[in-house]
Amino acid sequence: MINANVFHPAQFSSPHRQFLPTEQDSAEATIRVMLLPLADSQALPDQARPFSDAEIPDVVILTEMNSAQLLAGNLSPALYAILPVIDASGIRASTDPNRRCADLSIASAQKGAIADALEVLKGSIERVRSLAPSVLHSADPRVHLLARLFVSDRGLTPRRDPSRPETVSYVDEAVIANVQGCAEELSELKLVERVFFDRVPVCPRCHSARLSVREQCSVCQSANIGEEAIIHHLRCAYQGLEHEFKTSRGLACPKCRERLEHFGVDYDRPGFVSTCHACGHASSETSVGFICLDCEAEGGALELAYKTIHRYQLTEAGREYLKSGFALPARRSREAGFDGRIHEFVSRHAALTTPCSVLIARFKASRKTVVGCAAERARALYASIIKETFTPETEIIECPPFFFVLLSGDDKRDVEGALPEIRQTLERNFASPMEVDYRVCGPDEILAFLSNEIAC
Amino acid sequence: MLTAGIKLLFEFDQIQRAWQFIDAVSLDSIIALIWLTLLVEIPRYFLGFQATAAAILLRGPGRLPPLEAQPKVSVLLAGHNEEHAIEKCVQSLHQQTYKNLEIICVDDGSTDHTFSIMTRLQHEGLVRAVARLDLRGGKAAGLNLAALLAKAEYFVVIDCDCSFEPTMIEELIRPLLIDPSLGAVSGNILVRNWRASLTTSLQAIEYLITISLGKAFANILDQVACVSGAVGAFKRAAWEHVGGMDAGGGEDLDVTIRLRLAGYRIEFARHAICYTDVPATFYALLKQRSRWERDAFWIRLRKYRRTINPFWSDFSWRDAVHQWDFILVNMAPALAFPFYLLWLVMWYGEFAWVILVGTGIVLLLFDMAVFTCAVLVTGQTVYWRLLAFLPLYGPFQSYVMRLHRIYAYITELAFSLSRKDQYVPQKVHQWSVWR
Repeated sequence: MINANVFHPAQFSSPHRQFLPTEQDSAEATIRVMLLPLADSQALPDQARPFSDAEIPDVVILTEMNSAQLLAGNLSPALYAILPVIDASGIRASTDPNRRCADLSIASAQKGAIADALEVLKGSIERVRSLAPSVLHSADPRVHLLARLFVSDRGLTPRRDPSRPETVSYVDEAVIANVQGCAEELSELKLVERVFFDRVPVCPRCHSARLSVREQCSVCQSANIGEEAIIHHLRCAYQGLEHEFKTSRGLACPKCRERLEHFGVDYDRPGFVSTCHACGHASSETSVGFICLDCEAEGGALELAYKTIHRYQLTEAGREYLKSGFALPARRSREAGFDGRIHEFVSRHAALTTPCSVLIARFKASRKTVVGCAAERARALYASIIKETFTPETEIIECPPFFFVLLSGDDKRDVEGALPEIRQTLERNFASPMEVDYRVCGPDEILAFLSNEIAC
Repeated sequence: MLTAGIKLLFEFDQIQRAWQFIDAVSLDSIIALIWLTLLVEIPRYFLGFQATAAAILLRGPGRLPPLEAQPKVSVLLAGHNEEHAIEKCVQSLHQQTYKNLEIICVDDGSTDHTFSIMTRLQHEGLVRAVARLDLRGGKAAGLNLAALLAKAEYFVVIDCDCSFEPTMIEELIRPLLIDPSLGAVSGNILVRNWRASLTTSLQAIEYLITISLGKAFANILDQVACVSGAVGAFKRAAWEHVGGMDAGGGEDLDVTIRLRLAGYRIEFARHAICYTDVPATFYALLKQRSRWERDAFWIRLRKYRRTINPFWSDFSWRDAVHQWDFILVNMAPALAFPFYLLWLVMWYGEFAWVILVGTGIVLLLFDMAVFTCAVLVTGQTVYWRLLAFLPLYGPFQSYVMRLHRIYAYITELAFSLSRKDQYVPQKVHQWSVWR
C-alpha cells in the first residue's frame, strides 16, 4: 500500500497512533498540508489541516495523477526542494529520474492512509519545522540540497544509470539543478563530506563512462581476433599455427610434409596465440581497448581517464548551519572566478601604475605523449612544479587546460626574456617531453585573450 | 744450498745439451720435428690471418656511413628463463642506430618471470609480439615460431644475454641490402666478461683470433660456415627456403650449411659487434666446448657428410672446403696430437720437452702477430690488455683444449652424446636425425 521511494523502511515500524493529536495540542502541532490540486480538506485526518496563505506547509499531498506537474508552479524553489511530498493519487510513482517524484506513495487519498503516511513522515516534518526560516526562503540551490538531505535524513547517493554518459545519476537531480556541483561546493565548505562510491574509466575525449571494453589486436586495434593453437613438430623443429598443419587427411608439417599422427610423440601443442583476422598479427598477448559508445573514440586501456564518483553525507556542521540559517559564502562560478581575478589583478596594477604581466601556460596532452591517467598525473605534477617555481606571493590560477601566472612588477619583456629559463625549470623533471604552449601577455593582451580565447 | 746448486748446474747442463742438440741438427731435421705446426698452424693461423688483416686494414672500406634506407627488420628473441636478461636486451636494441625494428619474443617454456616481463614490454610498445610456450621446445623451434610471427623481410637472430654496439644491426643488415646473393650475415662476437677470470681472458683472445680475424679470413675465401647463434641476420626468403632452424643442437651451424647448400652466400660483418659473457670457470668452459664440438662433429660428419663426398651428385668445392678444413685443421691435428707427443718422446727422449718449448716460443711470436692483427681489425683497443695473457694462450689451446677436443670427438663418435645434452629438450633429441 505504501511505496517508500526515499525513506528507510524502518520508519514504518513506529506506531502511527502516537502521532495523533490530543485536545491539548497547540495549533503549531497540527500538520500544515498543501493539497495539490486544491481539493476537499475533508480527506485530511484530524492531526492535519490545510495550510493558510500566511503559512509555510509542512508537507504536500498530491491527490490526482499528473498533479506532480503543479508542484513547481505552486511552491517556491526552496519549498519545492525541501518539503516532503506524498503521492495519494493511487498511481504508481514515476521512476523517471528527471521528474520530481513523491517521497511517499499511498494507494488512495483516504483519511487512514494519509494518517499512516503522515506518521511515516513524522521525522521529516519535524525536521522541516526545525529549519531556520531563512533556509526555507533561500534561493541558493546549495541550501536547498543541504536542507533536502537533512529533511529526508539521508545522504546524496549515486545510483547506476546506464542511460547517462556518467553511468550514475543522483535521485535529487530532478529537484536541484547541478546537484553534484552543489554537493562539491558544500563539501569544500565542510557542510557535507565526500565518501568514495566508485572509480570508473571514462573516455579521454568526451568523458563518458559508457565504454565498450574488449580484447583487441595490439597492432591494428581490431576486435576481430581469435585464438589458435601452436603446433611443434618435434622432428624438424617447425613450430607454427594449427591452421598451417591442417590438411584434409589430418595434420601434416608444412615444412617437411610429414604426417603428424601421435600427440606427444610426433608433435606438441605448447601454447596458444591470438591471431588478428584483420591484420594477421599473432601474439600470445592481446591488448585491452575501448570504444566510447557516445563519441566513438577508440583507444587502449592506458589511454583511459578515470573519474571518481562520490556519495555525500551531511556533516554536523551542515546540520548546525540549517538550524542557524546564516547565508553561505557566495557561489563561486569557476569561469567567472578566474576571469574576475585576472580582471581585478589588471585593474589593481593599472590603478597603481605598476608593471604587470600574465604568463599563460596551455597544457596539452596529445595521444602521442601522455593520455588518460598519465595526462592527469602529468598535469597535477606540472601544477605543483609551477607553484614551486614562482614565489609564494605569486597568484597562479589553474583553469584546465590553462595555467595563468599573475606576475606583479614584471612587464611583458622581462618575462619573455626569462621564459627559456622558466620553461626549462618547469619541464626538466618530466621524463618525456611535455607539450606546453607558453604565452606572455601584457595587461591589454590578457584582457583580449580572455574575451577571445576563453570565450570561444 | 748445495743440493739446490747441484740441481741448477744439472738443469743448466741439460739446457746446454739441448742447445747443442738443436745446433747439431739440420734444417730438414727441424722441419721433421715440427711438421704438425708447419703444416697446419702456420699457413692457417699466421699467413692467412696476416693476409686478411693486411687486406682489411690497407684496402678495406672501414666504417661506412649510416644507411639511407632502413627497411623493416624483425629481431627474433627466443629465450628460456631469461628474466634477468630479456629487458636489458630489448632496451639495448632500442638504442640501436637502426630504428625500423620490430622485436618478436618467444618465451620457450620459462618457469621464471620471463613471460610477464615480455608482456610488459609489449604493453610499453617496445616489443611487437610475444608468444608463450608452456612446454620447452628448444631454441630452434622457438626461433621458427618467432620467424612465423615476424613481418619483416629481414630477420636478426640474437641471444637474450648479449649486448651490442649501437651500430650492430645497421652493420649486420648492410650487406644483405647490397648483395642479393647473400642469404645471411654473421656478426662479430667479443667477450664482455674478459676481466672475470683467467679462463675468460683466454677465451677473449680466442674469440678475437678465431671469430674477429678468423671469420674475416673465411669471409674473403667465401668460407663463412656458421652464422653465430648469438648474432646473425637472415633474409626471410632464404630462411623460408631452407625451412628455418632444424631440430637438435648446433642449429646455427646447421642452418648456415643448409643455406650454403641452397646456393646462398654467407658473409661476416666485422663491425656488427655483439658482446657476450663466456664461461668464467674452467669446468663450465669444458662443458660448453664439449657441447659445441659434439654438435659440430654431428652436423658436419653425420648430417652433412655427403658434402665431402666428391661423388655426391650435388658436390661443390665451395662447401667441401670448409668441411675438409674442419677435418684437416681441427679434427686431424687434435687426433694426431697425442701420437705426435708420443713420437717425440720415443724418438727424442729427454729432448722432447726442449722441442715443445722451442715450438711454443715460435708459436707465441706467431700468436702475438695474429693477436695484433685481430685487435687492429676489430678496432677495440681495450683488448690490448689481453697481451699479458698471450704466453698462456698457445699452451692452453695446444695442450688443454686440443686434448679436450679429442675427448669430445671420441665420446661423440662412440656414444653420440650430442643427443643427450640438456641444451635441447629430450623429446626433440629423440627425433634428431641426419638426412
